Amino acid sequence: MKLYRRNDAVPDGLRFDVLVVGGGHAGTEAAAAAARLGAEVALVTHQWATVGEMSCNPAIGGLGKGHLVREIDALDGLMGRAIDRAGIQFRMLNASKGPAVRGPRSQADRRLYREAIQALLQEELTLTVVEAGADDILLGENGAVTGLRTDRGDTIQAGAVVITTGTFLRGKTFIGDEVAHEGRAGEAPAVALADTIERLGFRLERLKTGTPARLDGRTIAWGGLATQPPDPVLVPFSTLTDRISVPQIDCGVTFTTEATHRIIRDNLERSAVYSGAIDGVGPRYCPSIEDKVVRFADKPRHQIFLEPEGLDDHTVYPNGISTSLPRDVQAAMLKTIPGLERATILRPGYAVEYDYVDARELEDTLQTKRVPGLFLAGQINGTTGYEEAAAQGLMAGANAALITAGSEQRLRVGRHEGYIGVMIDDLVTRGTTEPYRMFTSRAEFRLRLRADNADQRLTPLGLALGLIRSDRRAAFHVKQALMDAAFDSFKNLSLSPNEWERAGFPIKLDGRKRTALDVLSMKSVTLEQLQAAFPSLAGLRQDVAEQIEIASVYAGYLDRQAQEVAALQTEQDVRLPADLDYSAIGSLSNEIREKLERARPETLGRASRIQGMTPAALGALLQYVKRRGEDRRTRPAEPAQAADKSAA
Amino acid sequence: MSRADTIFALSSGGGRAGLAVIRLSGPGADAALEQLLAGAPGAPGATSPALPKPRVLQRVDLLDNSGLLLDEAMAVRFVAPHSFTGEAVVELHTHGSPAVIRAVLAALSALPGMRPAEAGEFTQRAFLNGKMDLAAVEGLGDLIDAQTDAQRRLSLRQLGGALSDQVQAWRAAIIALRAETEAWIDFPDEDLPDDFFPTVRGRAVALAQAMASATAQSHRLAAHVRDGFTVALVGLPNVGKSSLLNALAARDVAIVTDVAGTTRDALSVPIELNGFLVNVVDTAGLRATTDEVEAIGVDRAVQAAQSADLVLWLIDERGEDPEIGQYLSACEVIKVATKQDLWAGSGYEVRVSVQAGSGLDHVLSTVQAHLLDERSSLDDILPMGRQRHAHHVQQAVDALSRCGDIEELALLAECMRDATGALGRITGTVDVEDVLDHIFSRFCIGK
Repeated sequence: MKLYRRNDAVPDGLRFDVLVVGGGHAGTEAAAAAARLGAEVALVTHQWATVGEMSCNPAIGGLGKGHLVREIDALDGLMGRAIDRAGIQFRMLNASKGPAVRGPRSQADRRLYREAIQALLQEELTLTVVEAGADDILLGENGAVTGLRTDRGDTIQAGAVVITTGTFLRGKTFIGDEVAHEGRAGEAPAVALADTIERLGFRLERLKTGTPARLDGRTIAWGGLATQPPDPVLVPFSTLTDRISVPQIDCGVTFTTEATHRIIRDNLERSAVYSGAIDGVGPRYCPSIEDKVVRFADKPRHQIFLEPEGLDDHTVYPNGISTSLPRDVQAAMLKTIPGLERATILRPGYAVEYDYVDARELEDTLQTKRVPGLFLAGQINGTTGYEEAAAQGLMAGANAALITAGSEQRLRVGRHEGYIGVMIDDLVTRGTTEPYRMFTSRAEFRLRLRADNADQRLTPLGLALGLIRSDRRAAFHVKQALMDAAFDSFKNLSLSPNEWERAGFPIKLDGRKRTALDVLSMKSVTLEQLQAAFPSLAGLRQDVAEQIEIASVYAGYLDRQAQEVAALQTEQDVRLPADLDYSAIGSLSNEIREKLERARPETLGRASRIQGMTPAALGALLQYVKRRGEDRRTRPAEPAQAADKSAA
Repeated sequence: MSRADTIFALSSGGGRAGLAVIRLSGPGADAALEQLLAGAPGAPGATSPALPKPRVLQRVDLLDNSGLLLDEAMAVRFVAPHSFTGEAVVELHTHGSPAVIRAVLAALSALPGMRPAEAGEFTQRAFLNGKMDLAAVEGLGDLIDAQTDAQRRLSLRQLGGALSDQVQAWRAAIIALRAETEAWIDFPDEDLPDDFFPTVRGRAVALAQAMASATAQSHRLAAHVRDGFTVALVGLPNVGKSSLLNALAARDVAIVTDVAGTTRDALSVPIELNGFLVNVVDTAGLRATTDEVEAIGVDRAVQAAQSADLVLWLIDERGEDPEIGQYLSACEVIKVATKQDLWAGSGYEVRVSVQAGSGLDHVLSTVQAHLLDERSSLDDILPMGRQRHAHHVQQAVDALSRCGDIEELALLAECMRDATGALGRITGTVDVEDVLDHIFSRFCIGK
């Protein structure tokens, strides 16, 4: 990696394949993915020192989010490897609730995480980091991106630009009635860039999010508080990590009280969110403590997790009480919470409001439809969360590199292949009106899209594009070979009911032969029992054994989902031409026609997921497209066949 | 461009009548009315006549484009989206002569952006604009096609949302269950309550049972209302089946001769019985035969009898043929003694003489009592007459019933998703946002 500090002179006429603006979770994954594909990449960010910063809560993963991290890892991204080097409290959420809904999560030491990301980026030979702000996006005569003008006044040329500015687009922070123009506490917002994006014709809307006060852990009375420990066995995020060697810590658990709620209610009009100072829409699932007290008035208390931000950092993140109340109210409120009576506030909580772009402006490659070569990823598309941002960054960076390399291929993930696909499909077909967060309930094929099989689902897609480095490729092929052999041995062991009975497994005497996989799916049978009775089934590697068990437990359900996927595929993948004239389809209502024109869905499946879409309108659409002879059935995950209008 | 089209059509019946209703729908409806009121297109300085207030029927003179009077009529306007189609709608109530109708339609055709509506296009627009769901559209179609009083009553209730409301209520109940399940998956900070699985499974299964029993009660009767009951007339050749059919239908439809074996095909005549449609099926005479054509007729007769809701076994002085008795062993049968002017079937409850015109009412009342007994309470059943309604509800019932022995959250949610998906197919589509909305309104989610 090459680094131009703010004071370093940047040579005139610098030219890259891909420029990435922003050094957060989306930007770093975008830059790294483009570099893995061999592109010359520049990461434009204000300060190298804050690259990989966790601006909000010090944790990675969770339900849906942990799935995304595993998928990023399967595509050889950074996040999984970074958290494995920085995680200080690994927990497998829902461990007892079934394999499909297990989500890995870990708290992070913020400094270790930042250092891990920076170390991984430093290994990239084709990466250049330029300390600068991006002011203007430069377009060529054909309207396609040609580069950037920085706040240093120089220009950098590139074939594609990926914008990942998070909450910085016209960012504004609120602490009670104190308003500051900043994208994150103490850091300047991106105003010129927002103007540029608006000038290019993109619709910008406002969202908000919030963060709690940071506390001095040395002033918290930990003694009387309950604790939440890490898991006894630490399961890494990355398939490349053998074991976790970072020391692990406990979190504290406390609760708000009636007294806390009274103070909040008495001061509601002083909260930026309730005084009307903020118009942006906030996330429903991560409400401020003001919201919780108002919306769940009958709940006597709300849980707070006290999360240390690092091993040698005494900052504590009190998860569960994000707020935009004034400083004095925040202080008064904390005094009513057990354990926090004498806690010192290191930095008050605040709300941040920022611009985002309607993601229906994007293709599923995350390239904008409006400006060829311009990609958007992360919170700028209306999402929230590090993992959502990182996953988009990876996709945008990879596709930007493919396009500038003149490749016909694209990185696309189907809804049936990964949470990344579910998220991007949701965003580009429906847009979002509140910060979009991944939930497992958003995935219709949840039983297939498990955290434990992300590598099997997505690594082959990455391999086909050259996105996967040799160490992961080797590890993947080894595991694949072990899996194939294991499944073969379980399927080849096929016995009659009598033979099973003789082996100690009484089953229905119906004369039907059953394989070891069939028998394993019975509730009363364990893998260990089978392996004890049949030595040919023994000696499996832990992760392979786990796949065998899951495949047998979900067998019937997975088969049914596979049929559903196949059925969907045939009609869903009818591609709708980008220049489709919706006004020429007679039987569409105005409302639906406007929605279609806005989203310009790329497939019939996407059209079907637009809100308010009716079966009748879909029928009309299908008929029209078939009549036009545009019915090219392609699988979205086989990008080679997909028409791309904007590469030129 | 077609989307900007304004469509028009005669919405009342054709032919001579006191009144005719011509309906216009689309963005140009008001402009078209304005034009018909003004006569000449935008003469300079001319003030355009005031349009009637929305939803007020007003007397108007309709003029052609040279200002000549087309008809004295009444007009009413509906402003989008508060109309049947969800678009601007104008109705013209003209005199009902073919000449007036022709002249007004011709004048409308001549206006820019106006075109005659295609069959069903008003309803299609209503559907596309979200004014009606799929079940309501079906109800409207059935109402327009309604021939019997029961069909009218049931389709009117379907149009009014009786089916959609029930399906939505079921869906809402399943979504609530699924949201509770999903909340434990996506927000895992707390442990599951011990009674979670028994409680949720119990509710799922109870809901499945409620849905199944409502469907069982409703679908059979509603399908009968829609498609009619089937009553088969069965008996030896020349026992008087065709004569009875003709008498019942009070018109000459079946071919009646004295040559035995004339009726070779099963012939059906619809009659209305106490407001219900009953298809009376005449069948070929049942007897052993070597005639190939007649043998086919006999096969069909047996089939018709076995698939009928009720069989009238006609018996004359030749008595009960044991072979016929065997054919009908699985059917609901009423024995009817025929030709009572010729012999006395005193052992039979139902006796008829078509010749003498006696006993017909008794046949009808017996049939009615058999078919409609206890089931005629149309207002208590769901208007789910179509096969697909029962099919989708059954799919949902099956999916919910599977919850009964599941011990894993994701599989529970999966079955519930299947169930809402199946129900959604009756009215529209299911959306994950519904589930999330429910979660966020009910649960306080922290970390």
